[in-house]
Amino acid sequence: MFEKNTPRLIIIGIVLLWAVYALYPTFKYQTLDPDELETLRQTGKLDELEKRTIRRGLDLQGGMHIVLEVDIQTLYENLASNRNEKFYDVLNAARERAEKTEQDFARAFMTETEANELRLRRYYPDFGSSNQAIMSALENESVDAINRALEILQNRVDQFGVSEPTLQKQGNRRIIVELAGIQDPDRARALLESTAQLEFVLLKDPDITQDFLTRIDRSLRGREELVEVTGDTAVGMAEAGETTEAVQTRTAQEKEVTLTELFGETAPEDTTEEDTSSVLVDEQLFEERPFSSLLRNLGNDLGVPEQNVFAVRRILEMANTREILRAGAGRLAWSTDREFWNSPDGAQEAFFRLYHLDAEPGLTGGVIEEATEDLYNGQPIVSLSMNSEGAKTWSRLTGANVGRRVAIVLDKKVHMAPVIRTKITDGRTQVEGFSNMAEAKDIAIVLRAGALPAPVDIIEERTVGPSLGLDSIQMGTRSIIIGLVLVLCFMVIYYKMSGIIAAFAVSWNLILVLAVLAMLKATLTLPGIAGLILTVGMSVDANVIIFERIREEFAKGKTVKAAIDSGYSRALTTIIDANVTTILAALVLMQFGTGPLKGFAVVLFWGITISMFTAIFTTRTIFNVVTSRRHLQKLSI
Amino acid sequence: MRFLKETHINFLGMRRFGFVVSGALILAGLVSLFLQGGPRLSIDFEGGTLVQIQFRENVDISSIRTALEMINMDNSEIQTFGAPNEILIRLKTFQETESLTAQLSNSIKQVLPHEELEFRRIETVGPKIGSELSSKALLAVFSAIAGILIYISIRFEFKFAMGAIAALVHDVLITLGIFSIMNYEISLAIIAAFLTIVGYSLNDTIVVFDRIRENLKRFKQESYVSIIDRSINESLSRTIITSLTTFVVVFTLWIAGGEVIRYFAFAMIVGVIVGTYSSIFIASPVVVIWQEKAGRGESS
Repeated sequence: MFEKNTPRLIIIGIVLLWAVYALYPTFKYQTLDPDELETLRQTGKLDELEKRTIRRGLDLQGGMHIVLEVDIQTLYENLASNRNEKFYDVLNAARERAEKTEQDFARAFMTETEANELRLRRYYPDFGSSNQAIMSALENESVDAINRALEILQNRVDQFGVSEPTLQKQGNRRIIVELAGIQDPDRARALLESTAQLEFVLLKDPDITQDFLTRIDRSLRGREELVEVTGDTAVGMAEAGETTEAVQTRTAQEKEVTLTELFGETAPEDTTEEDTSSVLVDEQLFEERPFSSLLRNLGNDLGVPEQNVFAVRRILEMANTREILRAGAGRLAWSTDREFWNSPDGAQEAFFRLYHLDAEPGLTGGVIEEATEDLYNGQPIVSLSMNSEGAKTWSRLTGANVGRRVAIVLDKKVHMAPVIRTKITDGRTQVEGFSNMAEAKDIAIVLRAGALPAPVDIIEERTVGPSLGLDSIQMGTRSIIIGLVLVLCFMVIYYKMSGIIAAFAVSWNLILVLAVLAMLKATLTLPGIAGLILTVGMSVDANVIIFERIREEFAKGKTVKAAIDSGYSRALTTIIDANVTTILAALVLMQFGTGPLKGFAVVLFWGITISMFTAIFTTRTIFNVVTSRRHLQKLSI
Repeated sequence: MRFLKETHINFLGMRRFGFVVSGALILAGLVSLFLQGGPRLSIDFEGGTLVQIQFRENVDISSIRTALEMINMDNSEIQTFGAPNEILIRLKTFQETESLTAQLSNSIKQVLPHEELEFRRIETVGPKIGSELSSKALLAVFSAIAGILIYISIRFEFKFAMGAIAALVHDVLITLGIFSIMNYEISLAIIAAFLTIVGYSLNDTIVVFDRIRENLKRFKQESYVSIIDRSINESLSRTIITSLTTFVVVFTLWIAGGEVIRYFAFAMIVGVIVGTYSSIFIASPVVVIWQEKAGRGESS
């Protein structure tokens, strides 16, 4: 290649300077003391510095990796109008088909549409006239939905305050979110999954609710699904009746009824997913009023003991119940948080509230212009302001319903249901009912960022606690140092002077790989550390191949210079052939790997590529310099 | 300092012995795989949930099992992980982690009221993603092998590619078998280790092949078998030194790299040993056998 040493030394010098430049921010960041860190944070220079340091993967610093999938089925459902049973049948059949055949939902929906001769035009009048046109319009909608979801989630995460969040699209249905160093996984999860659909819905009158309960009770009484639970227990007269103090009605007559008893043979296997294998009911009441006996009267609201939640849900899912709800133009919604009451024996018991609401919302969240978290009388609140159209509707709604209650529903759960005291004309509203400031802040964030076009489901989640990350990095660093020292010692003992040159080249190799990682903004993961260790092995191998060749050439009686020359030239093809295969494996891994695997592949790829530079070019230059200065008769190898 | 002066070992003469040893190892692995109904796949591929909990004091697995029974999760797998105060729980199903951590910490606190626990790691993978990952992993392994096959066919000859592939399949089968016998599970990281083994094994094989290619040009009058034996002997000291140093490196990783990376390092250790062995006793003999068959075909 180069006969003269000067150009070689210049190249080596430039690479060295570049490596120092690339690694300096990482070095500086690692050695900052807390005070300096704080100053930098305040001046805003920390972000800049962090951007140029080697990023540590979630396994090394703790954090969350979440894969979200956009729920296309719900998107299709939301876009459709005039939905009827037939439409739902096709939708559900499509879901089953997609699950069974691992097909894309859109494709499964198309197949089912054709099989059932469903005319899509009926449900999607604005999307085209033929089924074909509507399907492609729906496909466009779902592509649009994922792009909007990505944007909205990006907004939410940016305001959440974690350092360097990454969001990326995977395929056309999924979004990968990585949040490094996160402290509260539950909060992050809620923030991501919230569809942020805000609705203001009027509550039904208590009388209507009472009537509704009676209807359900009547429809359920004596039904086969509900097996009689009287048995042989002699039960005294229950202190029945509509006592307002629900707590006191809970007497000794209450009995645990298993769900199998409640639903007979139809008890589903999936009961295990809810931690309620039995419910608390008053036996006497249960016979007469199978539904309302599961509830407790809390003045104006319905309370559901936590143990009964599952049973109540089952009943609400029954076709009859749904029909009764539909007939009364109503719907039921749960409260967000569990509350506690004291049972007679002094133990605390959890319950949820159940609200009976109008089916149609009076106002939806699209009109929200600004949402900020705040404190009011020491309580965390979210203040909302609406655009003019929203303010008009809100004013009309509140004006016409003074004295009634309006539920503020976020993602189908009721946050609070205050009584409307006066007409609100300026479109300003406060939402209370947050357990802490962080929750209020998160809700303000999701309301500001807007509603997701379709719900997203978490389909993969990996959370590493910060302490495990710390352990990993300590152990990883320790093992790489031990391994490196052992190997370098061996090289120096085995190849003496030349071994020192090789040791230098191997350390060089490591430094350059780290510099490349810093420049590429790549992430160093635990498998990445394994990749570094493997790089050491491969780098040593290249030197061993060269040195063994040189020894062979010496054995043939060649001079120092001639032996080095032919040693290097013969080793060159071997090293290239051998390394290219490993590079191929690394490239394949880079292509298919996600997260940690990718980290490994990136390190391995660069490690081997750089190893060819350090082992062949750098060591050769050093040998050249050493042999040209004095005329060596013997080489220490 | 030198380990080896010139050696003249008749490696190819031992090839039957090598085939018997490899055959026995592969067979043992396959039997174990058959008995266990295939490799033990991690949640990465099958979907499911993994929870790693650290306690302040050492815990008894049976009390954790009691706690899991209370929330109907007693069909899950529990084991200590690394230290006796750290346990790993594997659930077969995808769980909503929000309710899962609450349920777990509640029930564990009921059984062990004075313990403090810390959730160190929670991973949960939906079944759909799992099956996608398996097909992707298979695709990766096969495309890596295909790429390597093409490269070797171009740089050497097709028969060398066959030898290299035989060695590589041999190495992966043995490692897979040993993982099955040890009852270790195959995760995504292990697939990465497998691909690295593939790379390492080939690296080793190609160094020998390279020497064979060179010697074939230099000693035209010598027999094929003796040229191969000569080549293996000539590159033997390099093979040993490199394997030793790589072994030292992955061995440190295994000892000191921490629990998470231990299985990865174990796969690499097996890979280094088997890869070194196969480049001598499998790859080159296969090239010879291929050559002999081809030669016979020409002469007849």
